Amino acid sequence: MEEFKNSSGACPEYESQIIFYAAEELEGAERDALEEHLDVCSRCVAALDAERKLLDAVSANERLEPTAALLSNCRNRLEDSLDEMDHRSIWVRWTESLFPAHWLAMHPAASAAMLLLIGFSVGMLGPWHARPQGTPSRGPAVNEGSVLGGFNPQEMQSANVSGINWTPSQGSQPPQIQVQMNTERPIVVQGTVDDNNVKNVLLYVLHNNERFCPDVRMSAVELLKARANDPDVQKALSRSVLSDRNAAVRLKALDALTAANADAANVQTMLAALTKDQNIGVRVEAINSLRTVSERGGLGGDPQAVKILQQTMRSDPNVYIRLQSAAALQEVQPNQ
Amino acid sequence: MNVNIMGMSATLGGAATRAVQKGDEQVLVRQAQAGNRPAFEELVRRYDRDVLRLAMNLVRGSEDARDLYQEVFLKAYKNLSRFRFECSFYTWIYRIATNVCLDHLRRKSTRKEEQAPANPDGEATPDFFDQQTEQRAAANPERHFLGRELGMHINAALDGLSPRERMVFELKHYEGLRLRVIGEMLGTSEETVKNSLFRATRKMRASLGGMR
Repeated sequence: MEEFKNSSGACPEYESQIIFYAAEELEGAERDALEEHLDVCSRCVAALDAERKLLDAVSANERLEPTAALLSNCRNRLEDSLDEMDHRSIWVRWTESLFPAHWLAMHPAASAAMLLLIGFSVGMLGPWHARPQGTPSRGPAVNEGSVLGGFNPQEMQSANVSGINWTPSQGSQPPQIQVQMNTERPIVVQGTVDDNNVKNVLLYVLHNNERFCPDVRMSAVELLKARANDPDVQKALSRSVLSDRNAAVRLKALDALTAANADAANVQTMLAALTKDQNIGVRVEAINSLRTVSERGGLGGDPQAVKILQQTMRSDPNVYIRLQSAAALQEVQPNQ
Repeated sequence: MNVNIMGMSATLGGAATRAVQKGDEQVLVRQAQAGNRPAFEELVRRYDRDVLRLAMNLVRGSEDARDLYQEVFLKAYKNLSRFRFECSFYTWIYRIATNVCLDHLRRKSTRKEEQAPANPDGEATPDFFDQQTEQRAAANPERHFLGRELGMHINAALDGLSPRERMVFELKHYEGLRLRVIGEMLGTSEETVKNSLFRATRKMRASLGGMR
């Protein structure tokens, strides 16, 4: 690598210009002057040559390129972080709309008085307001009753499912599930998905999907798939398909819903996913689900399904989805 | 004919396409500023590979690069309302990326002497994603082994640069950006960037010239 050393042998007044010339960053009069000098100075010609060799070697250095797996992993992590941020910002916006920061800064005395008044009002009126209703008013409303089974609703409002573990099913035996929840007292729910307590906790996760992380929601969907014909489960899966923030969960919920007996509500959910979901993978899965239902004779040339498939065949922005819609359409109405 | 415009390969005949893309991008940015998540995600998908590649090559590891990627795009999301179309969205994203990476390099250079090497060879244990990259390189073993020794020297020489010199050298010689654009991204003058490039090249030459 001795050749790289020679570039410092240039005339001192031209050393920097040779570097910029080799980097194609020298223009105008400076460039003309250097080129004239190079015609008569062999030391600077050698220095330029060495500079170019250095840049060639640097350019030939192997570069790390992100793999598809890494890029996909980064995008998924980002999506989850954005979900969390959006969820938090709703509260921030709400509090900011009540207490604009610039107003508070400009009126310190009034702000202090207002905050004292609000604190006093909340302290006095809060408990009084809560007592007649019989339940504390903290956190989002819970879909109790059918969902919560034997659990205390207050505990569930603050519960965080820290993990869902299960052992694979042995033959015809359903998998053994263990749901760990962090509440004021840690709770572990054990059993199979046929146990109502287990089912209710899993349904609770899907009904309150904004509070749980995607892997917990994915596990809940996967386990509930075994009870896909249960009306409560179908309702929760439909909700996940239509409203879960994570595309992978929506996709899995569609897959689980496909395992259920075809009924009009399920088909409606699949059609809604096909027309409204922004994610290409979910829309493809929606078409696959419709095709599966059609194979089982559950679609019976449904005019609404036909109309929507025709629309996506013509106007979906994705070529693959347009092709798949055309293929599905042929299966749904083979005589056309 | 292929040219390199702001680090992205484009064809000379594609000027009209770029104009359409630019208009389309403005629409996307405005939608994203109005709170449209899919529009923001589309903008991310346009530039995230470039940002990730820059981070990977600056920090030479997937784990840190993943964190930097996350930090860059979360910052962009939080500060989207401050984007005033005074430069291209690409320049704005790259400005965030270079700042985040520079901070990381500065933190790393101050910590360098305090940290014990991850293994006796001083190389960090590769994670799953690093191994994926390595497998790709191994697909062309001849090229891989011929360039390996020189590559090690060049990487060692790059490590000898200050964070700012390293960034300027990377953006100029690997990302193919003009010094004026680099100045815009780093929030400094073209003259200052020129000085950094000059110092970086001198140091590289000294490091590589001293090796045999």
